[in-house]
Amino acid sequence: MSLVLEAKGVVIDHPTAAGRLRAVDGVSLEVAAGEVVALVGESGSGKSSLARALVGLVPLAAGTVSLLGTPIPPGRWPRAMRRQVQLVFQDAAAALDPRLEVRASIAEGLEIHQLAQGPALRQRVDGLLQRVGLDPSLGARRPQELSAGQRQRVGLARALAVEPTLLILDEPVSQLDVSVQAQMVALLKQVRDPARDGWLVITHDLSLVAQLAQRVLVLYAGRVVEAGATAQVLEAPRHPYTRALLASVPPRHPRDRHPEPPIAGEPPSPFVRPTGCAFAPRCPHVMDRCRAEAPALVEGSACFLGRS
Amino acid sequence: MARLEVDRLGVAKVALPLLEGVSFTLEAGETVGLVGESGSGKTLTALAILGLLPKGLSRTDGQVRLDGQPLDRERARRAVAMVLQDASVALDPVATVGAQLEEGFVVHRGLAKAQARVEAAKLLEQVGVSDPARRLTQYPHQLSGGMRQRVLLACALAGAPQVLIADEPTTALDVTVQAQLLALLARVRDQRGLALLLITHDLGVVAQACDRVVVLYGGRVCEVAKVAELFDAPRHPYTRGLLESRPAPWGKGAAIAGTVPRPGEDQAGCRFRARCPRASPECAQSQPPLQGDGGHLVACHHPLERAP
Repeated sequence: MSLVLEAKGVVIDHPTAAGRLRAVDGVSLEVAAGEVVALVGESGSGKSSLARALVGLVPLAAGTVSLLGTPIPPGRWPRAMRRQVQLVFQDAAAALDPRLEVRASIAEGLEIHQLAQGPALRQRVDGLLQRVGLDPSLGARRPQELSAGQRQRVGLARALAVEPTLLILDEPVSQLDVSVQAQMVALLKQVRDPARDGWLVITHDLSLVAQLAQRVLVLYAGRVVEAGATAQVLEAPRHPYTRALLASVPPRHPRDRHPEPPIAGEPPSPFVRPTGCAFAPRCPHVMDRCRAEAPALVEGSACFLGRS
Repeated sequence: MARLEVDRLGVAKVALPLLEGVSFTLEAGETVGLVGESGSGKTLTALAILGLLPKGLSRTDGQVRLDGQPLDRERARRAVAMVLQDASVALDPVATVGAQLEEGFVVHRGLAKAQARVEAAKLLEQVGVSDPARRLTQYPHQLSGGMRQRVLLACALAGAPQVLIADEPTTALDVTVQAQLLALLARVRDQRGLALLLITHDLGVVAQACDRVVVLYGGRVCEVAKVAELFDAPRHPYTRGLLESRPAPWGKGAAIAGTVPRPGEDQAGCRFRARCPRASPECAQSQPPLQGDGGHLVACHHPLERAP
């Protein structure tokens, strides 16, 4: 199967007043055509930095990213390449221009990439609105006149407009009410072309991973700690962090309450990462070796546990 | 006699009703979940209890009582404390943790400065902040999200309140840290005999942390029940919809069609009727009263069957 995205050894640094912050520390990942890959992590895991780097919004400090087999050159992307990757932002209210009718927001990409104009453009936009389950009459509204769920649909339509080969969805349902989240997930499943589209879903929500993704990568403090098929990672997690994460998900019924918090502590500050495994300070299975040396990702788990 | 009694509370923006007839009770040592989607009136209920309604809103009806006595704003200041969702906004970024925490002891308890510092350090220790003496000299941005939330809880406890309102206290936190904070809230409640009102949209948090639940929809209470009863046998179609809209294996991933009514919309009759599978003409004509026995109350003309 052809690879839509191939990222190798990606390192992302953010310069800050308090010094260099290493947000992503050597992450490699692949998304094949037709595949949905989820990137799971808590705040500070580097997942949003990675998403932004993959659309060229932040530079790489090291590593390479290839789209459809072509490496992305450093600096400004060629226009044809920019069209291939689209990002659906977490907060559509902030991502959409409040002064533009949503019709104009959706049309923008089509105009920039000269994909349609005049009556054909109007038709395309109407079609996109319908595709995301919105009545074309809503195209005349401004973002603030829509509900959060409708705005998120507009954000999706805007990204789909230029028919990208890679769609990156950053926390696509986290801002929505529970009763509306299910609608959005159903829509996401419906608009995807499983033969062609590669999707990268970035989320902290494990139930969303279970619903959408075939493969999952678990990020902790800027590194991949576990990777594998979704069912395998969620049902038989191998890395102690993945286990702690799954155990911490709130119960579905009061009778399944956690008697104690499953794990103490918080992720390390990105300014002072421990040497060795970043999870070592919180890990119930920590060994001397873990504090000295960072375990590489071997057979889907970056952990010394059970290795000789 | 209940510690806190909210009795037919009504709040309006000019003639637009935002809360109508909101009634529930809260006992000492008990955690009650106030559940609803955005716009349901959760936070407004809290602000009305505190007597801190935003400009332009006014209380139009009802009463709030503490130990049987009407709660005015002056009494609420001493007896009721609130923890907000986002500690990074609620804390003053240019004041040290110590300055903010000691203020509570000076203002509410009339302690001298030096004494306030000793008490502040003790309190930080109680809420699980490591190295309290050093933390008192730090600024909020130097703390992790989980630590900030603990500091905020300490600030709320400084005045030795009888009622604590926690408004989405874990929404901004990662699940591993969320589990820790919920355990801390339960411990603090038990140690101090607090009545805890936990405002949340997250049914997992409700399952983990609450004894009883009040479900709000469109500014009205639609159901009140013990937590296990609510999960096992919800009686309001909206409550059942909420539970079922959770993704599998939590629920069925079945969205509730439509959206929450805007203020003023569908004001006559039941506010859920436009989205309700059981709605009849009666539901448009008269507002169903909140009624029931055994502590399980429902406001519905066609409630679901009781558990056998």
